[in-house]
Amino acid sequence: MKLPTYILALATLLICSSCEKDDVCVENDSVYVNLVFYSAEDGSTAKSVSGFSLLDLNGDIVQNYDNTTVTAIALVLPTNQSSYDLILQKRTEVDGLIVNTNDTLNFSYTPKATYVSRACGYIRTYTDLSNHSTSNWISEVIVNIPEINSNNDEHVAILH
Amino acid sequence: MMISASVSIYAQKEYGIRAGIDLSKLVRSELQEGYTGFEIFGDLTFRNKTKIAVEIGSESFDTKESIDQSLLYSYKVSGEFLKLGLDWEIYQRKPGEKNQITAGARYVVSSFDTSQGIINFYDTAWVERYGEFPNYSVEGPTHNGLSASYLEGVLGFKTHLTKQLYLGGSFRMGFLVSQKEPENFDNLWIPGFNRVTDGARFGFSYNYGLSYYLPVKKTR
Repeated sequence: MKLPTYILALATLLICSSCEKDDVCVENDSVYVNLVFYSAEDGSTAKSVSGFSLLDLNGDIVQNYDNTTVTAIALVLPTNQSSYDLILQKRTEVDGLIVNTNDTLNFSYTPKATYVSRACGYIRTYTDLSNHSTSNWISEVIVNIPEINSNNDEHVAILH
Repeated sequence: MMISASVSIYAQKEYGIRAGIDLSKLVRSELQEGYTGFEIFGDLTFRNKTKIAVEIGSESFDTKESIDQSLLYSYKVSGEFLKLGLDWEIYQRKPGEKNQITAGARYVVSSFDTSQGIINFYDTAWVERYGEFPNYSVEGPTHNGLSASYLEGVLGFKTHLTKQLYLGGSFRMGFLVSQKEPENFDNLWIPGFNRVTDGARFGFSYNYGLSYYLPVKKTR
């Protein structure tokens, strides 16, 4: 047996093993909890919010929506805990003064890392989502879908 | 006619035992980060040009999956394998020639442990924003007592070096028969089998090593 034959055969093998088609992740992604704002008068009419911030319990700003109008929020609940508090601080102008109104949303949930495939690895999903909230400017928070496994769903409705 | 027939019979009357060590796994252990491997092999020529062949080895592979430099997850597989089967010489040797080409088949059992390292979430929106995937766990679970069995087709070559020493290798295509998979993970790499492709049962591997052959010739 000649050396070039070995090399040729070995090269063929290496080429074969480097062009496998499971290198791309296409159909899966981690899931965000979608919070969608609705009107308190009519629970099925979307009602956007402007001039508000998301704060954590320490009062630090998670996300600021001062100059934007928001119809929905995609939220990541921390996966190393099973409960998360989020303050929605809304700014309203009363007689030329800015007034902040806070509502605290408490989420309880079970985070999950689900193995999908070699190329995708793990995606983030949640089960058993529930919510308790204060009601200052928000009138009600409704969990529509407690099993969070698709980004196409409206998981939580916030009525205000 | 008579002469050629008797030569043929004489050439087929060869018995012998071989033992060798896979050098490719030793070289790969040195060159490839995260890989260590060792394999010894042997065969027994028992009838005509048929051999009972065996390979015993141990392999460990510490690796990771990333997308464009962004780490997804890492894992380490360590375990042993035992390959047992038959080889047939498919190349008609010239008188006095000792090189050989063989085709063979093996049944392989492999047992191994997988320990998972970092687990990040595949999250396209997050990686676009922050340049890396969000972390779930710094040290994932360990799965002990995993196993796999597979069939292997083997094409082997051996070149006679000097006296009883041979240098040769083989290319192998494995076909997974059964496996015990870890919970919420996959067997992505199996000792002796090499990389496991999603949705496919085939795997490719090779060996290349030095062997000592002790012939026991019988003349009728």
